[in-house]
Amino acid sequence: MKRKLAAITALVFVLAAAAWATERARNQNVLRAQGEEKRGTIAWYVKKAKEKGVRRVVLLPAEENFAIVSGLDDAASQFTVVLARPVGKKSYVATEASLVTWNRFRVLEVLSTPTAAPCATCLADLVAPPDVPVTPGEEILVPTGGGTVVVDGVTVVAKDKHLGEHFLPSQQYLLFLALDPARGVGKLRMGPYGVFPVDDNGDIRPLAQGDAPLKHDLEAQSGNSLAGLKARLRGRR
Amino acid sequence: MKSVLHLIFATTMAVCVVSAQTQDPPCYSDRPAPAYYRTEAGPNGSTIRVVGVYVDPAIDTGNFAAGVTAAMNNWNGAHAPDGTDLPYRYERVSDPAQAGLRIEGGGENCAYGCACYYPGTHTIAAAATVRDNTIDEIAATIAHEMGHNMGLVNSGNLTTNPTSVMQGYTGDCIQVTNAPQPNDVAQVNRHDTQRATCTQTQTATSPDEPLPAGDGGGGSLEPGGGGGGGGGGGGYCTTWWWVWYSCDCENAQLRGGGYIQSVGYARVPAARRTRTREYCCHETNREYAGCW
Repeated sequence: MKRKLAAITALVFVLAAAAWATERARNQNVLRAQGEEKRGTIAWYVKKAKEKGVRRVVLLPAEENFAIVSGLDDAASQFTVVLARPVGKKSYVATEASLVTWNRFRVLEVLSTPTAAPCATCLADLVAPPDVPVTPGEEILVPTGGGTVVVDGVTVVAKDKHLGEHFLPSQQYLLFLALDPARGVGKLRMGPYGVFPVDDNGDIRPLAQGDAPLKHDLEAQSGNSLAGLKARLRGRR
Repeated sequence: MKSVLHLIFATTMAVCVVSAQTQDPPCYSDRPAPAYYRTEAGPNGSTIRVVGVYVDPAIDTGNFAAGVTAAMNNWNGAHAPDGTDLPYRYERVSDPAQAGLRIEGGGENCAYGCACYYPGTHTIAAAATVRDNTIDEIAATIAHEMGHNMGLVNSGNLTTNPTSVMQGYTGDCIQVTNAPQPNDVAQVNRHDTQRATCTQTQTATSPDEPLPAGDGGGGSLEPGGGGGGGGGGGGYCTTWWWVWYSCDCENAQLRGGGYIQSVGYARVPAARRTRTREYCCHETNREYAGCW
């Protein structure tokens, strides 16, 4: 019995070490590919941090471009509308100057599927890291900008200006996603404008500041309620 | 050739200025102007800063090459509502060291769209989906990202009303606005001359994020260390940084009228000039532009 326990412990240790080494190698490879550190890159910041004895650096976030829609009908025709709850996230070095966080969601309900999803090639290019498991049909993986990774002992942080603090397990979200259901990966092409936290009472509240057609329609056509939205989406089928 | 050390700083004073200017698209109060590699005379005695654009040769072909050129031309020829020009002129360079803007592939790594802009490296990343579009569509996408290079923020009012090139995209990564609009030029000019009145900051919700206890050590994390940078230690986003320039020519106004350009950093003799107009400089090194 003791021998079995020791073997299992050793196996777990080896697997954990292998996962750590794989992850470290992945991040290092992205950085190494750029050769000499270019100013403003993660490698450059890490080098400067180490020279100064600093163990944490904060990168400027990437400027993202968002898809826009003319309203709820347009959004529902292009995107899968999903009610989902985050169950985990993991950050990676995406490019020499940016981080990405892959968020894993459990799908609570698919409210509608698109009738004319544009840009099929956009999703074909979306490849989740192999070490983030997903069960298509039950779960989805969604990337967001920024995150936190450790490179050469330095913690590198990049905060997504809009979604950085969101996607916590305690919250459920209404998402308008470009989704590949077979692979279980999706892209928030509208960025924060396609993300709506939903509280326990089924009230939908917008995440993005300012006015936007989808935000306006959710209020005007569904009263910012999940039940109202479901009825509205059923009505357009 | 002589290296000249300049201390460049941007004001951190929180000046609340009520501006009558349009707010759309917004601009960043803490993003520096694009780095230029030379200047040239503009209309009415103005000086135009020429920003080098380096495009990765691997993607600088066909429609994409033409689209990038069209985007540069569209910005170069755009005017504000009051008729003023852009303070910059974008020009292709073959030497990446002269570039104030780089354009590369890899837009597939952008979290939400088909193209994005990395302010730390002044780089636009464009996905294959964008590169496969028509010349005009490519030009619109690149023009949008160039707006970020000049300090513009995404338009806050995401509608299909084409009032700004900083609006978003539809369908197969096609911008709703196909070229820079007068409002866009006005906001670039505002960012250039009245940056403190811009309403947005580059950083996330907490720009002054201190290091966790125990991190950072006691040394100053501010640019330049003890060399005259701003503020104390602690590690946070800063608007101070050191920039090293190398200057290789000087434009001066002559006493008898007209201008002269002295190349090779042989200064125009004081007896011949009334005052130094400007130097032709390019940035050679920078420390601590960003957040710590």
